[in-house]
Amino acid sequence: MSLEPTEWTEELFDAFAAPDNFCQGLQSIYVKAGYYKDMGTGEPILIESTKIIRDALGIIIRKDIERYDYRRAGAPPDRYHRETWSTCRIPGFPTGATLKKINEETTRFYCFGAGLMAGGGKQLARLREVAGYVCYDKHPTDAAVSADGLARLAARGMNTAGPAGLVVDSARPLIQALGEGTVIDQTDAPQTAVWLDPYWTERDLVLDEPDKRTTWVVSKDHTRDALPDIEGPIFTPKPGWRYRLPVPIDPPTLAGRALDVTDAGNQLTISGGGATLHATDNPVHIPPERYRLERRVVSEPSRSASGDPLGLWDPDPVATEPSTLWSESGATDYAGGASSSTPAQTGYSEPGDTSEPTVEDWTVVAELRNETDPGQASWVDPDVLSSGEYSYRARAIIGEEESEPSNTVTLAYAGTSTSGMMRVRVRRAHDGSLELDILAPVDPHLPGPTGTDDVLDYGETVILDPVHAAVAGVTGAGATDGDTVIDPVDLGDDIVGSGDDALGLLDPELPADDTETTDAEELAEEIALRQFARDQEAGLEVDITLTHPLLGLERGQWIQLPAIDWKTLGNDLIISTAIDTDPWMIDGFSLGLSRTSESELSGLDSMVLYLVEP
Amino acid sequence: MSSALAKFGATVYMNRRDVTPWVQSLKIEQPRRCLYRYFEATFAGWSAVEEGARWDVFATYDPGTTDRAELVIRNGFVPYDRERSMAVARGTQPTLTVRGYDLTWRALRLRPASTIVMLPGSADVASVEAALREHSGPVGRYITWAHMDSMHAAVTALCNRAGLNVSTQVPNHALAPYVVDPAKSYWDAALELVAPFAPNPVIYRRSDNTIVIADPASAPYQLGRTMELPEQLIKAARGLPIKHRRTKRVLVRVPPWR
Repeated sequence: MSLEPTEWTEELFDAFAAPDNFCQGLQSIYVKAGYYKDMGTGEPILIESTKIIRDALGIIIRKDIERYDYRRAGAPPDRYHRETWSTCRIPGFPTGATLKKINEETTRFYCFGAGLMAGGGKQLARLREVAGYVCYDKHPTDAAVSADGLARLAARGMNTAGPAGLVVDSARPLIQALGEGTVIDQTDAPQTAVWLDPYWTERDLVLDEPDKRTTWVVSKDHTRDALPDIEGPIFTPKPGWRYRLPVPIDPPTLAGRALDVTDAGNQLTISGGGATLHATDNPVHIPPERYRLERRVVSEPSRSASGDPLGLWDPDPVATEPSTLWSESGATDYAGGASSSTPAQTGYSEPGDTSEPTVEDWTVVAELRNETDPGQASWVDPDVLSSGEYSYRARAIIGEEESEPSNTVTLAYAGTSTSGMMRVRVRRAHDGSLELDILAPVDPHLPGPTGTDDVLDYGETVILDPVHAAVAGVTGAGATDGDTVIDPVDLGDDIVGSGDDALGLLDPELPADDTETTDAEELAEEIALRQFARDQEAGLEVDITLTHPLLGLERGQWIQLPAIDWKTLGNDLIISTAIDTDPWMIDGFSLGLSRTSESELSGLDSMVLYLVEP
Repeated sequence: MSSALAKFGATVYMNRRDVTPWVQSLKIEQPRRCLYRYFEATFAGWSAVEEGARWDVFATYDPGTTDRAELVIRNGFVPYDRERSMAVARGTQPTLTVRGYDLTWRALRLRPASTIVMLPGSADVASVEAALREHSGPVGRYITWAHMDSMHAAVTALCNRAGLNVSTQVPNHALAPYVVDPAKSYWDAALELVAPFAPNPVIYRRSDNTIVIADPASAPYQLGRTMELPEQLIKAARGLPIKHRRTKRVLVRVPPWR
């Protein structure tokens, strides 16, 4: 009736180094395991395993054969059995070192409690019995000990005058004696061994009570004449019942206001709600455990328009619908008439269904824990856009019950959009070094959800390690003609010899006002703005071949091609300079000449301009 | 192909001697994303190319005179590993091809002869020790550059030492004492200094040997006047899209204050 293995695995570990002199060493460890693969869950269940350890000569040092008996898959095992074999000499046996079974262990499991019939009971009592060879030392007698040995025993204060026989107190299992190295590998050694079945018994006594289980573990060593050891009582509490709340939960009250501070959002405050028990004269109020906040977008400006206030991002060509590259206008249909236009899908409804698709637009934006008794929680929704209008409502939750929705609050956010802002964090290590951590603004052109934490897993992380630069501050603009003017950021007076003084200036642990940013944050923004800036390298590289040589070319010069109306297709990018009057920048050039006359090197072979988008 | 403008021509000088009569064909190129130019000249039956010669290439729209000649390659230089290549075919003159680079090519690769210790103030012993303490790696023989108190000053000094004028259009910041590894060229050391503010430095090269490192946060601007190319001059156009890199997060590690 027990499960049998359906799948076998075999592994052999044999990459051991050669043994040292006079050492046994290992040649291999071989493990073969058989699993029953449950067809329902697909979970492999270990049924049998054999582990063989061989020494450097290939002799089996130890072999363990294990087996679990299951009545059905998914249930706890009924029985566990293990045999241990070893190639060793057993004291008192004249056969020398041969492969023999030296230990045998059997454990029976008893399942009880709920789920016994279903096979899911996890509470097990067990009876474990271990049989095997037990090793005894023999009492040394005068006849067995030489004269020298007698003298040495006497010097150690040991008595040899007793009767010949076993030293009962020296009994230990052979498997333990082999591990300890207390078996003398000589035929005339004063040791012997007997097979005891069992020499060790261990069982659990379990008392099932309404609220807990009490367990005693009783173990008995049969080689000793002593009372059993009793460990316990061990208490295991039972999980309590969850009762469904028999009273309805009142919805909370929601209030909110739109913060007009930069980098803020809509602040929402939830209060009240919960259940009231009227069983007695004094009603008991149970506060909600959690509040669930839902949001609906009433109107929101296009994220591509206002979600990018810094103008950092190019439209993702994948996100936008590609334009039609070509159309076949000269072909006719089968009847000879004009061909129909390219089919285009405009909706996903069934044919003939004119109803608008239903939009379930209340989305859960936050779940807040309640710690107070009447109930109070507050939250700021950061994922809002400027001039967007949002509706909120809340529910109170106790256990798995939730209330009806609360009143609806509609807020119009007028502050700056937060999703277009960089997130700057400044950390200080123990050695005084600073780590400026800047997250990019959410790119409105990227597909995918933007969660409340606004972290998109898209793009690369740039790690700058300006060891030698030891940035003291951005102290001025680079351009002399006013092209690049950046507000100076003073992080310290003077870097040389400033010592610990500058530490205080930079300490980010100082409480920062909402409207002010620390100097380190400003430095981080100056660096990150340039790292996040739209890649200035062109989206298109163009080679223009000319019929006329050009001299005086500089890299960085702009060039306009006002009259060309060719279309060039590269992937999904189109050069169409007849409409696009944007200038191109010269990235390089190539000029080839060859001799035309005897005296002059004046024939133009080729003139190519390498252009990029500036 | 014969040019529509027959009067266009070039002149090649080797060690200030005109060797144009021996030149069969000539190519002048500034590759993409590169600041240097090179020329490739094929000589016919002529093997007197001197070792380590200085090459100058002029081009003009009026080869009869030298009035409006433009210096295309200045102080050309043939690297030792690309000295010359020969091509011989049966029944023809043997040809010799020489590829030389202009001064910028050498300037971008010039390395300091010893370690440079940059100091914001004067070169007192304490400052030098402070710089060397923070430096990980061998130092060896070193020289000190004093009063390198800002990033712009250091970039300008490094580039000037290599023979380049540079105009740094990115924000400036103060510098701590630090050590320049002599394994890097002057130009690489300068680029590393502007790296936090110029992730993909937009670099222009002016014909007066000035290199402009532009600020990526400012609007792009041009050098000189915008050229307009009429359609009649254009023979072919070929485009190749480039991928953009997107940066999600930036981590800046500022070492402890010194």
